[in-house]
Amino acid sequence: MDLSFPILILSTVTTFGLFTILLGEDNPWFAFAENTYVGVAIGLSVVLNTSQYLIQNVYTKTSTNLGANWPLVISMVLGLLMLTRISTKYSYISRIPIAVITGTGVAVTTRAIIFSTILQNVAATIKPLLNVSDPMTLFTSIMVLVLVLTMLSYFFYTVEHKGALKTSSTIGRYGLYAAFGALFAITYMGRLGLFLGRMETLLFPASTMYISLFLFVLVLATSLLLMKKYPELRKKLTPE
Amino acid sequence: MSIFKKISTLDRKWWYLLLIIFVVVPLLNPIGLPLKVSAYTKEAYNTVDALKTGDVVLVNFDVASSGYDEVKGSISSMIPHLFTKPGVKIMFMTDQDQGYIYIQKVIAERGTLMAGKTTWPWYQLEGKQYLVDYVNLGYFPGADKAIAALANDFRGNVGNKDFYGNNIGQWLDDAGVKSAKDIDLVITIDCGGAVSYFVNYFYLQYGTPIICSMISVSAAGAITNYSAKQVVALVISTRGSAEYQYLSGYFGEALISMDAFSIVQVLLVILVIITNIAFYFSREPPKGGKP
Repeated sequence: MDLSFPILILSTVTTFGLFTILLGEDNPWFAFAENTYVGVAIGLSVVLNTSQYLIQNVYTKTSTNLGANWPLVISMVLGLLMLTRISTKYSYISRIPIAVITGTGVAVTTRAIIFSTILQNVAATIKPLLNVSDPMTLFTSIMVLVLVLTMLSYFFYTVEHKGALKTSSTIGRYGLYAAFGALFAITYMGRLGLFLGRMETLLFPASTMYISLFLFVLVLATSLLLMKKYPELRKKLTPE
Repeated sequence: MSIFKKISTLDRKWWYLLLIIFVVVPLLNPIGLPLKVSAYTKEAYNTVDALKTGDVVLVNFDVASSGYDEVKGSISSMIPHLFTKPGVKIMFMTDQDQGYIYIQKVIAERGTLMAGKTTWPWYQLEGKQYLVDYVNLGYFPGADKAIAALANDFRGNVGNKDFYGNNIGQWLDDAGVKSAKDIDLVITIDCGGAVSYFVNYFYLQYGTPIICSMISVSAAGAITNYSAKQVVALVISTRGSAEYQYLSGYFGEALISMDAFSIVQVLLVILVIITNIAFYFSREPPKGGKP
């Protein structure tokens, strides 16, 4: 059975439904799209974790060779202990699996992170200065080094910022402004990319475009109508 | 009311309408603005193109619906390009519960069902067939812990079953995958932060080359990885995807959107300037002080 048409309708309605929040008020379309997304995402997660991890991995391995896979039983018990969070009386037990997750997480990550995010990045900041290929690379490398040092000096909180440290921290502050600006621009670029991607899905091919246009008008018109003419009905139809 | 006051108090819905117009019109009528390929994308293309017979590639789909539209262009060009490389064995995996959907989607959209087969996972793409040239290892929950476990004991954690329950023990033996160090290239399509896991546990332990295609909010961190040579190449967001589509010849959505992308970026710059000027000239003087 070909479900592509109902899928197209559903995805288009949910997209426009979510965009109706830009009109400034909650409405039934937005509530429908939001709740559908949350419901589907949670449902998928539960099904996949059950089928792929619990059944295919844990159950298969422990049922075929428990001796070699006994640690999985411990992980299952810890996982079940996490469920005690739903009880106010026994929720303290969930601190045991949380402690295990935190402990193993920190231990596993720390051994690698020292190299990948500290030592190798320090080397990457200094090394280009020793291997200059052209004036532009030299300029960029010097700029990176200067900004790294001045930005670090900005975060010296135990010493009063005066004299050379004040100059350095001021340069660092302006560097941070530039970085925040770049990060904002890159975030905007990402959001625009998402919007463009979605619009392409709604506009191409041409047959899709006409359906999208119809649904856009439908969702927009009904949302505006409910907002302007029937606010009580809008409230009634929109879950809290 | 002055023009500046009008601009600074204009209902934001009009700005949204302007944005929609500037997106839709160039999408429907592309004008073909020039596109310069960055060194990051060029290196990604060259690395994939240099793969040779017997190489094993692990492709991680750290992809969720929240970021898919940003990386779909790189998925729909890099994966078919990878499939054109003769004798290269490909293993897909995902660390996101939604990831498998997008693995299936790209193969279904670009490929065809194998002879005599009617359903998943029996698709072929660029001559590569399922369980002959590529497999889907499935979903590995646990983020960095899962990738660390795969790096330490790849076969033990993958097991002998693929995502669909098929036996892949023999396939892994034939591909020469005994442990993680037998993987020649990792490609991670990132909507989360999986690249750092692969850097920490594959690159640091085995020196495995990594290509990362990522959403733009992750770009700053990934460029740091690239500068430290922990990642060999990057495909950054929609722009990088368009560049890869251009290089590989798998033209598609990202390349089409580049005109709209550039035009809206210019619109934003103009709006930032205009609205700041408007805000400056329409400021109310503070009570009892200078403006």
